[in-house]
Amino acid sequence: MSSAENNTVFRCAVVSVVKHAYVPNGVVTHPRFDLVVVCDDADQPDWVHERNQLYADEHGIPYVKGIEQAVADHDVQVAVISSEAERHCDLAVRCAALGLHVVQDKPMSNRISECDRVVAAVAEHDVRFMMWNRNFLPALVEARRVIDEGGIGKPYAFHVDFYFAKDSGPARGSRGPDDPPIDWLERQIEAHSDGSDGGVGVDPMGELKIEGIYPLAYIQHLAGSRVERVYARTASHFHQANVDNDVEDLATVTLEMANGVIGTLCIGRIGAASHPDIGEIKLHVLGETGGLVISEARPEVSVYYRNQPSQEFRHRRMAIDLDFQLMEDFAGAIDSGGGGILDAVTSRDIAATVQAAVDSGKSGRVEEVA
Amino acid sequence: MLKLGLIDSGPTAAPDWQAAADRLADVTIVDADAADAVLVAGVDAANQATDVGRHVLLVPGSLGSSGEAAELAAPDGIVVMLAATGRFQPSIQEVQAANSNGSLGPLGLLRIHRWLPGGDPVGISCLADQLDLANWLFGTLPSEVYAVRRGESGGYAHVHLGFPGDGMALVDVATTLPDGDDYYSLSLIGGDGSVYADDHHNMHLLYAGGQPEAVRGGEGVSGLVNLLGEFAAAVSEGRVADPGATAAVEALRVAEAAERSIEAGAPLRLNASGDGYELG
Repeated sequence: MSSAENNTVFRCAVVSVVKHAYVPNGVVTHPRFDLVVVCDDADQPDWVHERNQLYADEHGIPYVKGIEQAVADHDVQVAVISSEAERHCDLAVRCAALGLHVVQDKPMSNRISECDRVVAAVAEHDVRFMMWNRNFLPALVEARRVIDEGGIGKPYAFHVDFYFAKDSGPARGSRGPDDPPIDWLERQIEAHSDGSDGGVGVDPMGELKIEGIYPLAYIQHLAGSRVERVYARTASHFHQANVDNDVEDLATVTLEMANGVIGTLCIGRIGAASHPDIGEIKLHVLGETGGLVISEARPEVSVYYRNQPSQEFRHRRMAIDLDFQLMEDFAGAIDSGGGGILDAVTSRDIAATVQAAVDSGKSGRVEEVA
Repeated sequence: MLKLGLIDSGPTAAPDWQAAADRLADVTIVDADAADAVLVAGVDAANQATDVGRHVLLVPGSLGSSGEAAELAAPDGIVVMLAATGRFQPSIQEVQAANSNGSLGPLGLLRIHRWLPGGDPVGISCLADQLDLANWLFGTLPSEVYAVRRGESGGYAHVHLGFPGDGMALVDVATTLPDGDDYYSLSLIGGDGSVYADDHHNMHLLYAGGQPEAVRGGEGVSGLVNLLGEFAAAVSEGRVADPGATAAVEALRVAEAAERSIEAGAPLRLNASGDGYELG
């Protein structure tokens, strides 16, 4: 049954919204989800309250300093979590304990033990969980269709390039001998203005943790298999903030999966000069009877004009139905009690793959995925 | 005028060599008996040619091991050049031009996809062709090598390289495509910029009912023209050609390390003397 045939509208609490707000904004593209309140813990720092208040004001809904109080007062069924990364899972566990279904921003967490808590809480309280993802982008839908229809035979290798051609503060090597190291959280708060604050939080995170779930979710979605072994190379190649905080902005990962399938990932925040748009994001899939090359950005339209701002994308994605389809899938999961496109267990496995890649980058060895 | 005899033209058809020579004023294709340079396959044929004073173009993929490649003789005044067509493709020349003039900044990441039909096992020499490009673009040997293989016939290999500093590369070679065109993609990411040479970007569309068919905008014989130009220049100037025997030995050494990594399921590291790879 399509979720559209069920007219239940889920009342959603935005539980902290300190990053760019694509997750709650995406949630409300679906008519069965309604934002009714923004909430957070009262003991959060001022900058957190300011962002939460701003979002609440923009959407004409109240901001409540007290999550449990907000849920009790506003008859909430769904929590939409977009806090600092290290708070993601604790908020998810608390919301699950309140009986709320959870939509959570990436990364799942920067600690696997926290992900395990979410898996347990979601099971214990029988609620649905979805990590925000891009698996319903038009190009991914097309890739899935071709593979499912047998267009390349049984797939055996998945390769994803996932580059963000964005700057992220001062370039590597730009810090003077007397300058202090860049503070990670301060840098992320500053980056909010241009939307490059995906790593917001106290604990520094490299690109694998910040963005890795997207391409790894592609591979998981298309391959349908869990990663067992990982070999990775990592580097702080572009940005001084990454050098100062010992986290990578460039990585290559070899993935060996349970069904014998191979995966690889190139990921990096490679600087704005490296691509005219957001970056080259591609999938290369090999099957026993063919190969498939997919540009994640397509379909797109090209726009050029005199005095065009240098920061404006020349090639613009279009016909993107991602937000609606994600929420359609989530509504279906709630209605049916099923798992959905990226549930807690799968998200946890991807987080463990990311951690194994980070560990391998430091150890130089092949790492088993926990 | 360099007189080149095609004793073994390798995977490139003889008419293509002829077409390339037609575009150069200082190279002509002649019968092998009348040649002062020859295109040959294998170390024995190469050494026989150099023994009698002929310059040698060596067919890529005709060397079975780094040890065999090390036996290539290059007497004084004789040019021995690897006919590494990949290096001389116009697209790859553009990549290296941007790299070597510093536009890209310090190199960070190289990705190569080389997909072919045919179903043959991906052997050392096949891998070495692509690994030579990695060595060449980074200007050094990789310090770490990890590899995996898949396919019942061994028709797929993936090699993961680490380079001194923080460079890295992923190279995969497949022979599992159905009969028809091959596919090539090379991207190079540096600290200041990037280059993408990708067949995907260069496809025309043919509409003949049903889904359109992609038709690759090929690079013609320009790669062979560039290759012959370098060979002729090296002969004319009496200098070592690039890539020569050393590059062949190094690429095969990395390919052999990849084979050992596949067997061991673990990465290998360049040894202290820089002439071999070790587990651990």
